[in-house]
Amino acid sequence: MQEHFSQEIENLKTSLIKMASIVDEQVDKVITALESGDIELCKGVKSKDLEVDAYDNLIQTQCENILALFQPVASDLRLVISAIMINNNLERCGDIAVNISQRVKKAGNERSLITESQIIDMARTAQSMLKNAIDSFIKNDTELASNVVASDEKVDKLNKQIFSFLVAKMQSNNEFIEASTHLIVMSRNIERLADHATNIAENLVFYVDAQIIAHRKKLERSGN
Amino acid sequence: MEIKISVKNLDAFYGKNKVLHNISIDIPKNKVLAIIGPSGCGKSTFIRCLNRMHEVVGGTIKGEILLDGEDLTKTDPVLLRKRVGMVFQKPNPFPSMSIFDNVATGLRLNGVRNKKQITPIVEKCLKQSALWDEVKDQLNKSGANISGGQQQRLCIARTLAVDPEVILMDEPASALDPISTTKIEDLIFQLKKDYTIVIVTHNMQQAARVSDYTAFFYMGKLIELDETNKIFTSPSNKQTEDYVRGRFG
Amino acid sequence: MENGMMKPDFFFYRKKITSFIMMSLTFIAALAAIIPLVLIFYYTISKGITYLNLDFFVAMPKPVGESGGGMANAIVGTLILIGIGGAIGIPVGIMTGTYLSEFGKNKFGYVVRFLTDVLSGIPSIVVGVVAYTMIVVPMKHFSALAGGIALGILMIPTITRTTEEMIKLVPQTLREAGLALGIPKWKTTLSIVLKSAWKGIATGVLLGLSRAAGETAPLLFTALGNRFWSTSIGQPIASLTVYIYDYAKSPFEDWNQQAWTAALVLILLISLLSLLFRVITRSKYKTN
Repeated sequence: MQEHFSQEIENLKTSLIKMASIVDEQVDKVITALESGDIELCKGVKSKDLEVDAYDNLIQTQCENILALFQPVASDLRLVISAIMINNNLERCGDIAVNISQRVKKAGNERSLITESQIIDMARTAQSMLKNAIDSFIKNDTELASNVVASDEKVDKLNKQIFSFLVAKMQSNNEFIEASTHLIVMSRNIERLADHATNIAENLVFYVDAQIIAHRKKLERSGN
Repeated sequence: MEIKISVKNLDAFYGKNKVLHNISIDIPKNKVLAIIGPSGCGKSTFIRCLNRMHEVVGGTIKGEILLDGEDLTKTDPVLLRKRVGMVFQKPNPFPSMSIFDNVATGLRLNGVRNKKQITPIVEKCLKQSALWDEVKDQLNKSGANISGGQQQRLCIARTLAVDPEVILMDEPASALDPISTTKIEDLIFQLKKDYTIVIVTHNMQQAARVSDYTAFFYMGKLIELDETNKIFTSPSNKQTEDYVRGRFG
Repeated sequence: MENGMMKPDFFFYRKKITSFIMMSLTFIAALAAIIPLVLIFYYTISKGITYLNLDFFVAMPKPVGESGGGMANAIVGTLILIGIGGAIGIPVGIMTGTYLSEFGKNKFGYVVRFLTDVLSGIPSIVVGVVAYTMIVVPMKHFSALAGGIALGILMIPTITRTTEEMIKLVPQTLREAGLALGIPKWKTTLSIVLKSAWKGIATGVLLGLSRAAGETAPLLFTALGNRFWSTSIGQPIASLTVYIYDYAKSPFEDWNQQAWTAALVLILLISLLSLLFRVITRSKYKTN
């Protein structure tokens, strides 16, 4: 029974890691495409997302089975709960990669606008956040996870800057409107990507330290 | 939070064999305290110290157990057991008595003889133990001729009849089927309004479901005592965590 | 798996045959065990039935040579004797048994248990001689009292040991249940433990009484026998067993016949006693 349970938990972890590596690869592909302007790289991102979706369903079933059959408690329970949450976040990251790839296809040739807006910088930061969040999960490394959470502010700030920059561009010349709109949406997506990475890191901390750190700053500020 | 029983530095022995080591626990009033731990960890011995049944089987104790501030190790055990009732692992209704008499016997043998006084108490206790509707038409049937789950509820009714303040339960559902177990658990939840309950259980899910506080015993020592949700989500002690996760030994 | 597993082989048949032989042997043994009983019933009934009429129960014995008459005095005498015996043996036996099982886990209990076993092994005639020496001699005459006491002593070990065993069968959890309700130990023993063991104890009492009713030897020195009507416990008293003894060895055909009838009546009496106990101890509740 104990061995059976350990086996199920290992299977769940393995599924999550496999899913995470696909998502990581997808994100890397679209951001490299954005950076290099090589739109060809975006091909296959959408079809690969089906695999991510399949893992999403698989992991949900695995978690459900573990809860139903073994009624885990303490750290085992926290692992399953975080697995459900991380799974959800990874699936969203996959969707976001698809979304970014579509924007890259449409605005990838606007090299100067891309370079000036610093969107690549933001994208790379978000990407490394996601990568670190996944690594922290693989290694149960709460310190790395805390770094991920801390980086989120930087991405938020960049998002605001890029937004102002692109709005200014549009105001200056209406030729930029279409490309800028694509880039604003892309920037918004990258910001979401960083948010999901943060969520993953927070769930890792919940699993390892039994502490809920999500929304902590906001709640502290509001006095709750 | 009001403390009903305060155990201070309790050691318990069987002959020269020390089975409980320096246990100190405060048991809060009108709450359910669950005691969990592997077989032989001393959890049954512990609750049997609380109504001095430990000495019935030849055990001895050292230390203080205060019931409402009064050291119960120095009071008369017969008087104590009227205040601290006990429900056992195996349902043990008196087979030579009817259902009615099973509940009434504690009253009668404690000096209440008036039938007019006894009947309403029996009815009240059977209602409290959620058995009334099932047995009201067969109160003269033998206490041994109802199902195991009903027998256990009869034993609870019998305990309630003496009007105790504390109820000790030694694995009260371990011999019962799941539906009867659920009924007993519901009952415990109901009873804690009026009584302080200490329950020993092997079934960790049961401890999680019924109790407000959980104490983990291991090798005659109290390893951890905390709110039940804390014990089952994030216990402080590694041994406790391993035990509740089923990774013990 | 090869299906050869299911094929019966030599060992299979050997086991079956052995099993059959052993079963048959036990059946034959069981049959043999009931043969004496059947014979006893056959002889007592066929020979005793001749005199089994109302007279036998209500009339007094006739002098030698006159046929007919009954044994009213002996029937009543036997009842009085086992009554006295029971009055002594039952309370002493039950209380001793209770002591041994509930409180007797010490040296004294061990000694008492040992002596009770010894007592049960002492031949009844020895008990009779002792009663003779201790009661008949000082009182200077035979008496129903002396006979009753001798029978009472004979009942004690049976009742004691059955009581002890029956009380031991009462689960410990019932005692604990009683104590946990705040019932003092003596009350728990009396109203829960003894009450639960009641049926078994009654069986022990019945065995003791039956054995006493069938005793002859100790009565020869104590109650002696009486050809007349007497219910005084200070006087010699008649009993069925002594009559059987006297009449069976007498040369008169008529008395021999009456001895058979007395034996039949004794068996009926004990059966009646047994039936009575069944009715008394019949559970108020149907068990399962």
